[in-house]
Amino acid sequence: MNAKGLIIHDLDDKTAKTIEFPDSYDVIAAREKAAFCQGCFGCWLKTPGACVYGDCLKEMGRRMSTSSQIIVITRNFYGGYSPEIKRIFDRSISASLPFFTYRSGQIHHPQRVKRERKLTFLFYGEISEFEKEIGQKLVKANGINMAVTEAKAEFKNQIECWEDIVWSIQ
Amino acid sequence: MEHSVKSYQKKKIVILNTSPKKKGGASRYFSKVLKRCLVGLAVEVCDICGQWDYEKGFQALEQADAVVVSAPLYMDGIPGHMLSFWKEAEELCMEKKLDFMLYAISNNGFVEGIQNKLHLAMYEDWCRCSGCTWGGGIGIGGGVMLAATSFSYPIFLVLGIIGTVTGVMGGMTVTHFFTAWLGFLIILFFHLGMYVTEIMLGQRIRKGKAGENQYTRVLVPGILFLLFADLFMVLSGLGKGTLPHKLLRK
Repeated sequence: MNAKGLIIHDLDDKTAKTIEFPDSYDVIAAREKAAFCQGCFGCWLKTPGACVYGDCLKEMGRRMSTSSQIIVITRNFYGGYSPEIKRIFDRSISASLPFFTYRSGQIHHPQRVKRERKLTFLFYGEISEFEKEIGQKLVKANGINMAVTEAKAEFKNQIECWEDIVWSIQ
Repeated sequence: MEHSVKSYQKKKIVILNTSPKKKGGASRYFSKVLKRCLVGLAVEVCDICGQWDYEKGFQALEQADAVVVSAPLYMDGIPGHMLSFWKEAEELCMEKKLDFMLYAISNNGFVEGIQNKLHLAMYEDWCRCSGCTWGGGIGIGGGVMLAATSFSYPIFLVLGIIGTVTGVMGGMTVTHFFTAWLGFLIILFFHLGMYVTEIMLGQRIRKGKAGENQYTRVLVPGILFLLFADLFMVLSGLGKGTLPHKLLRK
């Protein structure tokens, strides 16, 4: 079981190098080349728990499900996540089981591994009020989907702010 | 909110299938249903399964008077493989001053259609960014179940015909008739909400109007959905050679 937290970001190498992340986190650079989810359900039905593609995101579902803290730094894309970040989340559905259950009054998938997890999204880039509203609701909806204990969204453009937030939620 | 923009009689409607699946899938099924609701109009269906399909998608957008995106819900939003497409399409619309009306059909695997709300809001936001007009969308719950059960229509149709023919030969009663067609009627009922909203969307597109988002679902009680959907996953797992207990692997 991975006791470490997970930081996932879509920053370019130059910007990422300027940020000091705590050692208690594994850091994933989402820009690394990888396939997009093909919606094949293979990670549920053929190789349960792992993606059928053998690239760097193969075990992403397990990493998501066993991390106590997940912090995501993403560019705003229509109130949602950048393609690189979305690819990681789409490829992580094996963190849940293929079966169905009621959660928060709606049907969702039960989690493969039950553990307390917290989810924080830091959005950056130009963002309208409408997009902020979508982003807030999206993170909340993802939090229910992933059965985390807490899900929150922040909208900050300054690297210093991200560092403060990351260090404060260790 | 409802306002007439322009009539799309003889104008071009582009349906973008944006499921990453190259064959089948719920999004493709809902596109086919919508295409049948647009008989008489010039409709082009364009599959965008990945980045290799972007260029033909952009070409289709340039010719379109109205665009309908049919997309699966992935983690409450736009599927990852389509985000760069929409960003580039936004730039294309700005550069070439394209102004089509965008409609959307979002479907999810869970039963509640309302879970598609944020996905539809993202397309509305795309319209705000690109200068195109948001025509509204529909959110369909239980998309996979609807697409999967649609394959049973021919079976129940044949059973209904056989039941009717044998019933007529043996002295048909109303009870016999309904028994013969029961399976067909149940499947039809499952799909009814989706048909109604797709027909209404088709009418909206014909009139060139915009409207509010509408939500529907497979017309099955939630508890039955859970049973059917779990059974479907167990059978699908067996089909891929995985025993049910292995699906729970940590």
